[in-house]
Amino acid sequence: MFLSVIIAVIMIFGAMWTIVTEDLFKAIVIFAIVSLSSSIMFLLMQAPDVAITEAAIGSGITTALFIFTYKKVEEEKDER
Amino acid sequence: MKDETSVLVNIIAFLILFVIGIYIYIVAIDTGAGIKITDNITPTMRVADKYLNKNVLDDNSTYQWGGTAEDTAANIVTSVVVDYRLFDTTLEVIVLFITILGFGFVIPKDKRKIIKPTTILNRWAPILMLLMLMIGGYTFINGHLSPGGGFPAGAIISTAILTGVLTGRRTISQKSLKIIEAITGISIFSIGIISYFLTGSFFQNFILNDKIGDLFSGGLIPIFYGLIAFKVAAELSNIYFEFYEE
Amino acid sequence: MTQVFILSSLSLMFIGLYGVLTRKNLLKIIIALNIIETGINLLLVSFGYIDHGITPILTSQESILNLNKMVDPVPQALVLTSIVIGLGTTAFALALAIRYKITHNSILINASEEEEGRGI
Repeated sequence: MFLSVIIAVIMIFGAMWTIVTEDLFKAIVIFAIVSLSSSIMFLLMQAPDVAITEAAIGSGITTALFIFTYKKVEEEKDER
Repeated sequence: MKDETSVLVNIIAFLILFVIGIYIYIVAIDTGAGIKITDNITPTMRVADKYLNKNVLDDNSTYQWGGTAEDTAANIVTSVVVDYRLFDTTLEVIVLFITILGFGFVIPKDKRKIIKPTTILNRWAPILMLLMLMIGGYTFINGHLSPGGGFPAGAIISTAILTGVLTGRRTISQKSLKIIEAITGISIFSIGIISYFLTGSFFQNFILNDKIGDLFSGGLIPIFYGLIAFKVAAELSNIYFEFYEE
Repeated sequence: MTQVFILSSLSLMFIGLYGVLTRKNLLKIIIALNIIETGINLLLVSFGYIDHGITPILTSQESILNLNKMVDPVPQALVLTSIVIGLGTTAFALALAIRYKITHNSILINASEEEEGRGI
């Protein structure tokens, strides 16, 4: 029972930090942590099918798509 | 990029959401007839009782381990998704197809240069691609015996092609991906129509006399999961190719 | 333990909704939409949880004997397809965000259209 309380605290704290922070790259990385913690919560609810699907899609593919868009949107770099 | 907003708007939004949240919590726990979800409701009071006992078509049938039943998958979530509620799954396949169609229409197609990959990624890429293919193949082949199935298998197979795209190796062309997606989509519906002519109802299992727990059990379930896995993998790989035009 | 699951998923939904209402950067609004989606999927699966329940997979003859201690498999089947459709919707929203950046030349939602863009 204590494990579910600890993982719930990590998830909620991570979600609050994602929304408040100003740097976009930090927000994308912490969003990946929130998705992984929700996959562990699915396992604690005795649902291993859903946990595998959420880990593969949420932590893998959605984060990759966000990083691709971040590179296309932030165009200003220092001239060399 | 900074985004700033005034403190007053934050506090007002927070208070409104807090009040609404307490109200929704009190309403969501109640299931009607005075029973709350946080009391212990056993599955005999729910719809899942018929799926767990596998007696949907015939009210009194029971089954043993190693015997035959009306649906011989050992994973009960798989038998709900692919056998008892297959219609919802095919509608999900259609919705995913329309979403990817809209995506391919909206994204701007411009030419970008691909940055040369580093040495570690260049060396490890073929091993990673083979490993991802094997793991994805294992997941959908054993979909009816252990957790997994077709949907995460499609996601895992598509990361194999993602690794290829990131290092500049074009292992499969975009045209053949579209052909794979079209063929698997048509096969799902044509198997359903064939089973209508063979047994009398749409999507009914027509491979009988299997045993629960074998590798070759489950009737049409591994075939459907394989087709769904390849369709999802082809669609997700199309997304990566569109983001990385050269 | 059902209380912990329902409370945490509801609070995740409302944190995401707060993010959609008060942020100005379009990419952060899309991240908040994804947090709402995660919270909804957690809420659906937590409605099927039973205290001290076991996984709904048959492994031998004894798991057929205690069938009424299994967790409800129907919400898990519905959430499995919902996660994949959420991915498709996120990809579509990101494509629209890239289009917005090209026409308005800024990623904030209060940008004006008067300036000439220089293209990406």
